[in-house]
Amino acid sequence: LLLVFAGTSAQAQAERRVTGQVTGAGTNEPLPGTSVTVVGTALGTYTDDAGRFALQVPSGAVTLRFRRLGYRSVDRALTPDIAEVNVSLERDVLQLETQVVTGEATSVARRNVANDVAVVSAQELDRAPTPTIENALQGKVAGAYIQANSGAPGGGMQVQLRGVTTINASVDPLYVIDGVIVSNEAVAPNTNAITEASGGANPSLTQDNAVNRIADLNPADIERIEILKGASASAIYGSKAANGVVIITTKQGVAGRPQFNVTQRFGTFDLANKFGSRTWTLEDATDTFGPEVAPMVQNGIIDLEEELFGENPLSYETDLSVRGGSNTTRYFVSGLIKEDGGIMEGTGYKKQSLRLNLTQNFGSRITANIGTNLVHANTRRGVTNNDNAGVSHYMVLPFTPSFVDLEPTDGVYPANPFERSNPLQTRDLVKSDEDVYRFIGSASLRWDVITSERQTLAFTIQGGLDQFTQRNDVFSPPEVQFETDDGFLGTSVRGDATNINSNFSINAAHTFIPASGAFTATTSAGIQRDRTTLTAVTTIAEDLFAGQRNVDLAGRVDPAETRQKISGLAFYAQEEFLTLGERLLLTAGARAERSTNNGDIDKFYFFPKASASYRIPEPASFLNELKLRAAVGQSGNQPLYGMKFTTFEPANILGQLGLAIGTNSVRGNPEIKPERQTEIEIGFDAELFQQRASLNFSVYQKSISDLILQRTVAPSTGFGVELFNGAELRNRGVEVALALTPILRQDFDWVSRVTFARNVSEVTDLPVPAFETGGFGTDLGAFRIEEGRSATQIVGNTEEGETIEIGDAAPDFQMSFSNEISFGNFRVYGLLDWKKGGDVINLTKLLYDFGANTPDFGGDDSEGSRRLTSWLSGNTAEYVEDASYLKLREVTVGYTLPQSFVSRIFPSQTRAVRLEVSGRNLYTWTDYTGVDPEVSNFGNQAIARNIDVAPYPPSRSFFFTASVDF
Amino acid sequence: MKLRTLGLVLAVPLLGACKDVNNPDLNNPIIPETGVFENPSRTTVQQLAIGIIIGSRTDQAAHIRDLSIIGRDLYNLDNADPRWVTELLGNSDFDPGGFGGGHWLPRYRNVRTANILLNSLATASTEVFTSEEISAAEGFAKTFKAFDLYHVWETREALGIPVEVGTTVDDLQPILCSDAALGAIAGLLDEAVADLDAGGDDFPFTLPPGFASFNTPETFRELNRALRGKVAVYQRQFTTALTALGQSFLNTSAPLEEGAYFDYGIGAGDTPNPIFQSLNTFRAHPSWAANAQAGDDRLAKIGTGTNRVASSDPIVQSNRTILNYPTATSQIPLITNKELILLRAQARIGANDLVGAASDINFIRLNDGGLAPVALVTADAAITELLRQKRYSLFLESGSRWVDHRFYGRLGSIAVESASYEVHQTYPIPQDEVLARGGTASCQ
Repeated sequence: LLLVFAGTSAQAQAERRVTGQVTGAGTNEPLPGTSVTVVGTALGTYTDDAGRFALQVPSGAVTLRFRRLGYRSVDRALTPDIAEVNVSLERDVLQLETQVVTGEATSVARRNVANDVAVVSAQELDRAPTPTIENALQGKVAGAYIQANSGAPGGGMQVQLRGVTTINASVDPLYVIDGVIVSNEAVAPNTNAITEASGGANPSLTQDNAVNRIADLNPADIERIEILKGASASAIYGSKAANGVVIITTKQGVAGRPQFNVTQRFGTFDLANKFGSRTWTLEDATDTFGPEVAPMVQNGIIDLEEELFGENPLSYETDLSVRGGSNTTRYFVSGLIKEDGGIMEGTGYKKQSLRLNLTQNFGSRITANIGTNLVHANTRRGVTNNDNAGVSHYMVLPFTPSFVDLEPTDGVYPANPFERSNPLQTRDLVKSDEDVYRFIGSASLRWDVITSERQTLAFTIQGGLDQFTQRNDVFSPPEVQFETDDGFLGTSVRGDATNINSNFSINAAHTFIPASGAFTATTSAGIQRDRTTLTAVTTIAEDLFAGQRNVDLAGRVDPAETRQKISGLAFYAQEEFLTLGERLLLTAGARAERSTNNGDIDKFYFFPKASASYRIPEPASFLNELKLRAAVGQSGNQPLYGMKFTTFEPANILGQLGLAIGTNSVRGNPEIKPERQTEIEIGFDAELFQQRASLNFSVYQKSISDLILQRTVAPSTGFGVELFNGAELRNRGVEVALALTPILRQDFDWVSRVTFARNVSEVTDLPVPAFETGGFGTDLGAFRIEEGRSATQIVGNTEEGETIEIGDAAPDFQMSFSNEISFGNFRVYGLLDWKKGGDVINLTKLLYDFGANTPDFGGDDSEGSRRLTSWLSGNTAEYVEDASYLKLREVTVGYTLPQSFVSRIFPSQTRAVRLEVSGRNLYTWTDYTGVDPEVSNFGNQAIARNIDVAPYPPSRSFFFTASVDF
Repeated sequence: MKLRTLGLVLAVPLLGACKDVNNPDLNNPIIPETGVFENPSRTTVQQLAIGIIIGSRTDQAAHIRDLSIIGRDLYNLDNADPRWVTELLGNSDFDPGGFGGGHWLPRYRNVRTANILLNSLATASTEVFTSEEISAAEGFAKTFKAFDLYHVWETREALGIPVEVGTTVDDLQPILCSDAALGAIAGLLDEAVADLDAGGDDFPFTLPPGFASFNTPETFRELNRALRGKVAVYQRQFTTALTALGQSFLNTSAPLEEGAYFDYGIGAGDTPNPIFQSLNTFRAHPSWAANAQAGDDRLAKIGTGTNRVASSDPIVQSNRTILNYPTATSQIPLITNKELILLRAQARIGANDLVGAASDINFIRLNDGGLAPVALVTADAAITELLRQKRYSLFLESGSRWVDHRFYGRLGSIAVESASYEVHQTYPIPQDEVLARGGTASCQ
């Protein structure tokens, strides 16, 4: 393909010149960067700084199309004699007109696209200050189930698109930033070394409350996010796309004088919810703990929860950005300094980010783009979640009655007489700190080989690199109470991880429009190479000198290293055919991909897709346009690194090396291959009431086959399990998004949005017996994969000794409601996020019941006592709770200072000054009795989320923001 | 022309970069798909030999722990998991999918490792190894294979066990009933002796310090015969047992603790002594001290500490701490001289040599317990005294109390905590094994 076109070169067949200016309706401000194209041809240009353009067009009558992000497009028919045209564009508050990415090198107008691609703009992301980018997406995308794993500062959230897609393979969507596949790896800090949450020679570190690294992005850099929710849209991303694709585009420079923005925020965080504890009478206390506690009961009630998590830290964020440039060189530069305090002393999150995006034109045919982003993130999260060593705060509080005084005197912390640690000592002395330095760089070169009236041909070469190094320090000094337990006083863990993702692609896109203008055919094809390497070295040192934390100064040192190296190669081709007056869009494409994670590294797996959409203009008087769409496609989920290997687990005896078969007893599979998802999506998009409302409706079915499973084999073979591609799983769902502008006037806007999503999963084929895939066993509630049942069913025991379904982690449905009202200089905005149904296994409550310390625990006839007795007699369901919630996610009240005032007070260049008061997660309505219904002890999980074991409690935040544009 | 050049410049590096290498696992050494290291190096053979010892070591401490709990020598009062009390002490079902499924997979895993060594040795080059060395290594591998299989037999006895591991995960080997299984294990040990006898002066590998007395084919033969004698006792072939024990390292002039040991270390990649690591929750069964004869020196194996009470049932409690394994690097025996003397007494009782048996038993009473000799005139009395001496001399060194009481049909004489407790007859066949065999796993 490359060589066929490389020799040709064509000139535009232009015969006359049209000039003009594009402005915003109402404001009359010039709109630079507006695309001006000749309908039915490939001719086009962009407006300059002053909103002006000049374009060579064919002689005769033509129609010009004016398009700009955030504005409704306008078609203007010109008779042959008109050479000057001025256009004003209306705002597109519902984003009906945006372009949507449909492939590696192509995009299409959203009004034509055949999938329900969610688009979230910068304005929508920026409504309330956000710790990390996922927070800002909660409640904004129908079909995206976005849940925090805990309330700890600095991230750790899971994004799940359209239900469960795997059991043992990767669970996260593919994140692509400006063409770079970026890492969302969660490297565990290894707090397990002190919590012993997971035992054995090779403990699994999933309970360490790790941060998944997409948290590093600066939300203020983002221009827009497009979310491809399933295979029918994401097929072109191949075998990494089964969980969907999140395409992030950062802000680019625009021609014109430098435009600065400075945003300063101040705020604080506040404990959103407490578990509470039992109020002990003297009699209860002595009955339960013995007469020796009587003097302690005199202390009255000491609220340790408030003591631990009651901080209101000063938090701040400073954003600075400038964009500008000339017609040939454009730049965007931004900087961020942020510090979020933690509600527990000694915890918090700091982030600094610097970005430079540069665009350079070399003549009219070559455009180069370079994007660089440098991030430092520092997270201090303390030690929370499950543990077996009496470390984690909510593992200790349940057994610590409220009359115990644990305050230090003269720097000496009293030992907790009821448990293995004093939480105040643990808070002050035990640390888990994480430092991440990250560089994300992208470069692309676009070469417009042909730009003529009938065809265009462009090559894009794109490369990117995402590298981060993560350093973890977990430290528990010798004097901490629980350190006496294992015979080794003091623990220091040092972790160093380096992850490098790189990818490189060559893409060609050709459009052809016949002389009749009957259709536009866009052909794109490309080749993509990607590599990932991950190295993580952890050293656990035990038995330390007082005050020393270096890992060599220890009685016992245990280092561990894991490495991964993955490379892949893919080819793709896609044809988009737009015809019938741009009403019918037909798309077909395919990607062939191989990866070194597959058993056969040379075999290409093929992922096809096809879609069609048809627009019906004015089918009814209230209906401006109705688009019917259908799409089908396949994508994959690669085996994880190492699944194809059967290995020894090297060990030694007093330094003599030995090859013994691994204690995990896994028989790898040399024929392992990607899981395959087939998705069918059908829906319609309607524009109503003169584009004052839009309605998107989709139904989909995702079927995943070749799921990677572990088959239990006869243990007398020397192996416990064998990996294989088997089972099938299906998700069916419906998504609705409704956007309304009940009022749209110059000085009074009201935009209202509602989303609804429901997803139902079922395991449709399971060639192995039903098995548990998470949780702590059926007596405590476990997730069971069983044919014919929901993939997220929770099973438990009954008093009769049976094991039955007692809950389901998947919600019945999710809805969100947002309203934004702009009135004069005021703006008021609120977002409600509602999850109906979905159960959580509340083991924190079981711990409190074990400690007879739950608020409703009293005598034998109390509710707490009844619950525990019922559980002890076998009734697991007591601790599986409905975790429906309605959360007030975001609230903002903003005020833009009047221009007259601004020009009097501020320097003359100042364009706008905004003041805002905003809050996040301000209130939660829920019947769930744990601290937060959004919880996952095991971090990001395919299935086994929603297990509540001693999490970091949730917080709400309040911020004041001042923002100046000049 | 310029464009064509540019196209080539771009295409060449990309296509050049398209070759992927089929890297081996970066984190662990690969097990060859065939299960054979063709023409193995001396290093590979050395590492496989140590790997086999590591594999045997993996389950040894847990084996001793669990059999001692069932045999009422030990409690594990770990409130994080009540099953140490409920399941092992027979207060609830012995769950074939839970604790009851234990002591099976780790042993067969190691049989697989031993087979990898054996199959690799079959392809070994005489350029690299002498044929004596190959033979010696085979004798070593077979002896350990028999050692692991014997320990599976201890837990399943009458239910039977497979005595070989198939080549693939679907190649299931028959479950042999108790006698046939012991016969196969005995046969393996005898094969190993033939290999060791043809094994020349040295192994082609170095063994850890715990095997210092058995580090040549000739001395390792004595360890092999010790195991053969133990197996023969449980086969009730007492003459064979006495012959084998006669060729073992049994020696009443040598220290009682002479023997083969598993070593433990605190270095990276090594394993600290698991019993030492659990001393917080381990307590001696109250009957261990209560039933001891006054003045028994072996009472020094326990101390007195915090009383621990089972969360599931306060009837289960003890304050008698374990002093056997004082450090993280304390060795745990495979088999020792004192056990061999007691096994000889056991064989002599079986062979109706009560005088010989009494002499062995009294030797242990005197030299290990500091106790005066007793007269043993009936076989029944001799068995009772033998069981007592084994209990105190081999405390937390084997699971012999349970195994021997079963051997003599005396499980009923082990006192249990209350009527709702019982002494298990055997471990069940693990649930996964039964399921993989289509729901039935009876022996043949």
